[in-house]
Amino acid sequence: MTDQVLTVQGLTKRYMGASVDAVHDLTFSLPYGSVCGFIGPNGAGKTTTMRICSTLELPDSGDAWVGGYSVLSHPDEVRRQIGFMPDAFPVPEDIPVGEMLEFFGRAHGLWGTQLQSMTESVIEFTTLESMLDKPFGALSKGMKQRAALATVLMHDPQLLILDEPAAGLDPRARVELRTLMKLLAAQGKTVLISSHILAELSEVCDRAVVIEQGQLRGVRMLREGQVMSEVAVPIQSENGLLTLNEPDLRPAMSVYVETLMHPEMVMEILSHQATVQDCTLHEEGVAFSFTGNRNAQAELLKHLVEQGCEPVQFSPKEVNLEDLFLSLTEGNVQ
Amino acid sequence: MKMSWLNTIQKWLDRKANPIVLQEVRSLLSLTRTMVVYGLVVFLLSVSSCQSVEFGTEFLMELMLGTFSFVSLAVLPAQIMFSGNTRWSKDKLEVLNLTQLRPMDIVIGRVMAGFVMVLLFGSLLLPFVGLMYLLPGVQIGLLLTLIAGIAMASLLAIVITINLGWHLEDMAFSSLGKVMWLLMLLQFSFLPFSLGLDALRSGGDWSEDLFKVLPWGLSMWGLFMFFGIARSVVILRHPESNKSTPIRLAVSGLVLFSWVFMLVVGSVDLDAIEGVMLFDFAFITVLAPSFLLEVPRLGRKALVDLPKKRFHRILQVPWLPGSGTAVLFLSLLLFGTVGVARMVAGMHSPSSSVSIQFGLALSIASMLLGYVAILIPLFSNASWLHAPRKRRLFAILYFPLTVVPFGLLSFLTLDEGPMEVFGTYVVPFALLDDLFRSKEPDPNIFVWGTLMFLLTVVVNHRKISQNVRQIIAGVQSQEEPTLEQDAS
Repeated sequence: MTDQVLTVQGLTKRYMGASVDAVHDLTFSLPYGSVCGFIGPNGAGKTTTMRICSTLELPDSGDAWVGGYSVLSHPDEVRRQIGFMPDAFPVPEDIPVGEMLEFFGRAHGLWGTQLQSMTESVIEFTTLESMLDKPFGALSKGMKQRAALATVLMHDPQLLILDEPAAGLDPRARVELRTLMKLLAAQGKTVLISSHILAELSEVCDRAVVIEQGQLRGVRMLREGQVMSEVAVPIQSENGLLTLNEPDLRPAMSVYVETLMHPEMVMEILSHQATVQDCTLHEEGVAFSFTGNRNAQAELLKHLVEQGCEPVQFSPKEVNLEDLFLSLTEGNVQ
Repeated sequence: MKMSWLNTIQKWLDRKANPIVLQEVRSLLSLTRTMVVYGLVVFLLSVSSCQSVEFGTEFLMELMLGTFSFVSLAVLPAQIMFSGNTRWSKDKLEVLNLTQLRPMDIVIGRVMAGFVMVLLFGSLLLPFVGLMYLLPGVQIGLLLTLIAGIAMASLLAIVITINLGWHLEDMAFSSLGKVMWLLMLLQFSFLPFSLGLDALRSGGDWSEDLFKVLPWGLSMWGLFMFFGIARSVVILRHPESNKSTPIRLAVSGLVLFSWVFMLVVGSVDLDAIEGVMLFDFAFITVLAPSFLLEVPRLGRKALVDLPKKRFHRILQVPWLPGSGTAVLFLSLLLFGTVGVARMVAGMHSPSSSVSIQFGLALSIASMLLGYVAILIPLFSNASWLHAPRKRRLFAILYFPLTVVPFGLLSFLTLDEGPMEVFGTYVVPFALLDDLFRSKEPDPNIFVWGTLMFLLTVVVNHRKISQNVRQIIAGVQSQEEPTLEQDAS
């Protein structure tokens, strides 16, 4: 039994008539119980990936496994384990919410007391009690999303795939949806959620997968809205050799340094530091990702002074999801 | 004890209930117009039953058959076409693919919901049927048979309406198509009504005629039901499925039916062979796009299910997807029809000169095959046709492209002269009936038939050989992407 609820391996898909791949050699995985933000610009391939993982599309190559079942060879088993909510949930508009929940429950094979208890618990979870007699088409956008989420939860899926659930919602509905996401996470559900509202995602997600032009740009852990760096910590083993421990999570920092020394020389010095990554040369300074703690920052600053850099600015800043998105993507669309 | 038995049945129904049937019946019954129509019918029948005591039962019978025919063949399909198909449009059905409902459950659910409505309406007629049973001079057996016949026709109309509704979603003029279909149903609703009245008025022993027609009627009904359901299931199936086998099975069944029909009626009436051949040709022409625009590569399930023995795989070639196998399949059906007709005609009149010209029929079959097998793959592979909207245009243009030239040029060939020669070159169906009976058909048609057949093989040779190689080797092709995936 794998500890990953979703594994995407080398997924490639090109729509007929298109000149480029909608998704190209995409690989990532999600462990059980994680809440993952799936972010990328418009046309990045998020919806295509989600539809393939939901068995609604076939990849040209590669595969995806949900709970160990392949979407290609065992689509029926995959469908039992996922709840997919597209951005506009397509259900008959004239059916009252209560009937719709019963309908989807039966469609998932529930009946009798099991159907009744599941319906009640889903209604309670999504607080839809007052909406049960209202036709789906008469609901506000926020209530529609909530009702759609309720239908998706009727068969108690392990993995929820939510495509732009917050699109078009007013601030109150967004807060309500965020609360539901947090509750789902607390229940141990794995959630893959795409959205353009990064502030919303950063509050509920514990990791983010960034894609652009159908390709993976990066996977990062998140803690309380901050992007974390995975740092392998060297430890002394029993035989006296240094080995690398399991990765340790530290808040990812971006640092901008400006010195009287030429930036290229500064970059050369920085590139030899273990805590420094992804150096970028600017006109008067150097920006880089920093994976150390506060002591390490002081050490680094001291080292720059010792090397004769004469720093005039040393600005560390914690990286949030928005920074990560901007740093990993180039703004290109397909 | 009784209660526990009932409880068991109730639980069984609760467990087995198709959610689509429940939801659809609920929605149809909640429509005000349903209640208005049902109420009006009961009111009219009640009034006329009061009059029937005084004026005789004929008026009540006519009214009952007429209303049942009209409601179940026109009103109910109209409700399904407009409210039902809006409720269950294809995009809405996509989320159902993520449940345990399979495409077959969805289609059967919708059909059964319609049939429940027919039964509900039929149950309204029962008190009046009971009244007529009490009144003298009514053949109650015939009346019930007619009601059952109309109910069966209604079921077929529901199946085709559901299928047509989903197909029309891809068409630019879908609203017009819906209205035209309902006008056709409206006209059709008078047919069982008038036939029934004739039978009721003529009296006599109707059961003998019924038993002669019943096997053919039931077989035809069953085949068209299967065909309609298969077409709908194919629309909803997951892309990994083999999409065309149910349609191939349905067409094979219909053509097989025609061949048996030819054997039976051909021994009585030689002209009937021509009729059945024309029916087969027309049917296969209409179905050609389904075959040739299908998933070009082997469906995953089809591959999994491929038998291990090579000989068995080769036998399965016509039922496997791919435009190459579609050409082979259409050839088998068309030429098979001609072959069977020849065999039946030979049995009928082994020594005398047979009026049916089989060389001519074979040429026409070749031209027809060439026409669809050359045109459609060219269109389906064209890059400009890949956008869904353009494919809709092609779907709309298919019938004018095939039917209009046939009709127009058959009209032009009525006159002697150069247009006739031109017509026989271009139009396979030009004056088909006259050509069959003509003593000296234009030799151009034979040349054209041979040419079209050769062209069919040349144009499709790559696909044919590719498919045959795959089947023989038992491997899956990854070469061509699917049109259905593009549609999504």
